[in-house]
Amino acid sequence: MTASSAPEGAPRLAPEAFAERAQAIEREVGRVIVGQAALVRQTLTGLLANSHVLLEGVPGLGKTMLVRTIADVIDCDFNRIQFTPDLMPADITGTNILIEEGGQRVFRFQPGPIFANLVLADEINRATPKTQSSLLEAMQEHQVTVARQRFPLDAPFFVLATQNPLEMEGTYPLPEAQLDRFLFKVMVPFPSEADLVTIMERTTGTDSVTADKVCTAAEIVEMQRLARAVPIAPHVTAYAVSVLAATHPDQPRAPGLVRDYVRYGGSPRGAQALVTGGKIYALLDGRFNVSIDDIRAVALPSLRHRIILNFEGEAEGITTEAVVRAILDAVVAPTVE
Amino acid sequence: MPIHGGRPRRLRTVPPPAAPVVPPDPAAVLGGPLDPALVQLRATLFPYRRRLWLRRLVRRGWLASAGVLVAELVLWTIARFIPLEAAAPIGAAIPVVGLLAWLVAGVRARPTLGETALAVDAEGALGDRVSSALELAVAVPASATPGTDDLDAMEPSGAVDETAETDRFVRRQRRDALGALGSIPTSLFGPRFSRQPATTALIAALLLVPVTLIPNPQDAVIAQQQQVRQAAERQAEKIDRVAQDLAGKGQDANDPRTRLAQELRDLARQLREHPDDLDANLARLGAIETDVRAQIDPANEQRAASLTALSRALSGAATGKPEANRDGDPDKTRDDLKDLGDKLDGMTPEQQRELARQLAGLEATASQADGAAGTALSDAAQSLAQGDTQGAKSALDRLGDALTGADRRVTATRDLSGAASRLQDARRDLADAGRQTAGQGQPGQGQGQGQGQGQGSPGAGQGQGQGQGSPNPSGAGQGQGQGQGQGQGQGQGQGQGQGEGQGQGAIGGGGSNARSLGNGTGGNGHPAGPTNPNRPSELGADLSSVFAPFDRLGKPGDSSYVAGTGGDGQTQQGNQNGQGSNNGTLTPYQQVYTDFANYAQTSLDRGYIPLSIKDYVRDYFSSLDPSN
Repeated sequence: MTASSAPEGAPRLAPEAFAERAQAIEREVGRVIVGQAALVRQTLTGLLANSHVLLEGVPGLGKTMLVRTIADVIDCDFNRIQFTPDLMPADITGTNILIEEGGQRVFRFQPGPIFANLVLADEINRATPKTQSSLLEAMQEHQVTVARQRFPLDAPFFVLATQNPLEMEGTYPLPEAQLDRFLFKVMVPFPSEADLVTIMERTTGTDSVTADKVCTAAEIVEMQRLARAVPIAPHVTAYAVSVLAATHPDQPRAPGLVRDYVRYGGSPRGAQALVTGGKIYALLDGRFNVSIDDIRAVALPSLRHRIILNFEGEAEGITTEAVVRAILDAVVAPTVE
Repeated sequence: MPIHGGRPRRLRTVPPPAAPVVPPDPAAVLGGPLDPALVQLRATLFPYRRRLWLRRLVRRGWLASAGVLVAELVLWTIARFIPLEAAAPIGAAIPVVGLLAWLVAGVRARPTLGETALAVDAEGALGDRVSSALELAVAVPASATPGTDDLDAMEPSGAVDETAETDRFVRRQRRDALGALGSIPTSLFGPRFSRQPATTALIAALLLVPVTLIPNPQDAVIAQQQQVRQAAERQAEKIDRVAQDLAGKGQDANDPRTRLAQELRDLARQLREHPDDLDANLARLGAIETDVRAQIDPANEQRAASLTALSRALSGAATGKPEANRDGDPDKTRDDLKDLGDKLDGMTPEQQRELARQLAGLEATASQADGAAGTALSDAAQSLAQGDTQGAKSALDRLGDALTGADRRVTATRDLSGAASRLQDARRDLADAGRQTAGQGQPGQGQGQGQGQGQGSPGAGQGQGQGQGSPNPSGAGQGQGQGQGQGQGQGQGQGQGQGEGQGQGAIGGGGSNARSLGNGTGGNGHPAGPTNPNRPSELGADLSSVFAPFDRLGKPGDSSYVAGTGGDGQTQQGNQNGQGSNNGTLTPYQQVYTDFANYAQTSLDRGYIPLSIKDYVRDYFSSLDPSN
């Protein structure tokens, strides 16, 4: 019998309650964030998958508000790190500082802003690669090592990084290894006019809308564990693998767009993202199995940042979204006559 | 943003989609009792399985129909351009093959339970519930057995038994799948109208109607091919008979008739083995015929006539009875000469000299008949003149042997000539069978026109003839012939007189190739020239397709002059009187008969000439044979 540890005193959650709880979170977040249902769903998926999400959008679309609202709804600690070129790794992870304690001067670790359940790495591409890479260990292993001391991060740990597609001068694009650690890369769309009207009404008046806490951090951890327990049928796993394989230009099933314009395809983390995201989508849909449609639904945010275009692709303005769509068109769902 | 810029896309072959991972049937993979929910799930799937099979059968039926109709269309379209004798049986076999293919495909199309689950998920929009339930039952065998119904039982907080939780998850998923399966309509998988195959079948059927109803031009070609094969078979039998005939006449392996018989057997075998190869068969026939004709002595008939005349004369001289050997049999002549040799010693010198003189008078004829015979005859005559009876006897014996040898050669040549004629007939029949029906010529009509003048005297005559003929554009020729003859003669020195005669209709000629026949071979007006009123002025239909290379007789419209064919005075007809005088320039026809007969025979052998015409010509010359 295999066993996994759960947070002490964590409540057990029935699979049927998963969707209910998640929908409550979405509902509360939606009270503050107008529209952007897909953005909220994908961000929540990243949280429930115990992974991290990279948001990309122009300033003013509510990225910070989203993270803050989620933190409020799930009653978690929230820290925001504004990435700048002069930001140092110690500014994120923390450092040992010299303090007087009992008449003696001792070094004591002063945790950085990374020590929170939800961390907003705002404009992450403005920091230097050295600083960006300081997030690697925290994101992957949920711990921080400072002066040979490891400091575990509390669960849940969720990094929501943002980057601005404009004003690229003076930025440092995230390295592939860093990008690969984000479960999803979510594009923040510009709101519709109707949503904008609602936003104006909410933000320019005297009344302020706040979200209530509907979930605890422990429940989020339980939901994360439950999501991983969702069984997946072999044919669905095979389909996810086929989709990932098709991102590689040297694969026989790669569509022409991939062969022509892709330099490197997604790593195995891409398939993991497809399956993990699919499991959460299945639970959110009230199912206990992952379907092909779940895989296809999470394919775009899971793979768009894992595909590296070649020079021709960059020169001709090919987008990774177009590549992923071409892959989904090429890798059809297994059907029988 | 455009996905593709101005750069042209490269054409690539799209790999076929991967075969779907078909969920297995848990009952077939797992032994023992199954979870009741799983049993119910399988039982619920079976009706859908039958309906799915029916749908597949219907779809394959459409495909088979479209395939059959397209195949029929292709077949009959090809049959309009290529002569396919087997088109009808193939066309009948295609539906049968289509039916068999449909049956086989139908059996193979029986869906498995896993395929049914995939189809139900897809068509019922069940989110892979059913297929996942089957797969997970096999992937987690413990969950496939009967278990607890309390899936909502919670473990105490703390450690989590993942195995038990997975088991509960799978069972929960199975119940969810069962519930979803019960919510879909039972009319799922109704037979569909397969638009693409049905459209294809409809178009093919519409095109097939005119393709099959419009008369096929290849039918005539096929009929002709069949005629060619039948003709080849017939000619092979004929050639076999010729070969058998020649083989019976051939005396040894070196006899040309024996060799020809072997070649003819090979030819007959080729005709039977490759009856369709008309060109090759005709070429082989032509080659053998040419080879045979090369072995034929053109002067054979002349030689035969001389031999007959010599034999007759020698028998008469040897026995003293002019009618002793009317047929001119060389064997009888040899016997007579042998008897003569035995009598030489009993003959008086005067008789011997008289005999030598008679023999010397036959030297020219003997030389024409055979060189050895001429030499032997000369030797015999000289020996007799010198009184050398032994030498004369020996020479007469050699003369007899030479006559029989020459007779055998003449016979062999005649056999070869006959074989060549039969080969020619076979070739003509084969060529006629292979000729396009549409290309056959119309029966020709023609008349010759000629004018003749003749002068005759006792024993001599002369005639002139002119004729004209011209083919019309359709290939038929017309001509008219008239002959006029004028003769002067003196009959046995009695009286004097002048005579004029007119004759008509020498040889009218005509035929499909009347450009030749119309060249006016007429003009042999009596009393000088021989005429044949029985010559048909119009040729029958059997001559319509015959190519008669009469170019040797002139071009259409040319005048032809036939000299020296006039009859002698004894054959004068009509009214004539006058004073005849032998101008000394006339040649007795007996001396030129052989030339003309040989010329006519050679012409008969070298061209496509109908048998009726051949017989006609032969009869004509036979009637003029001075030996008769």
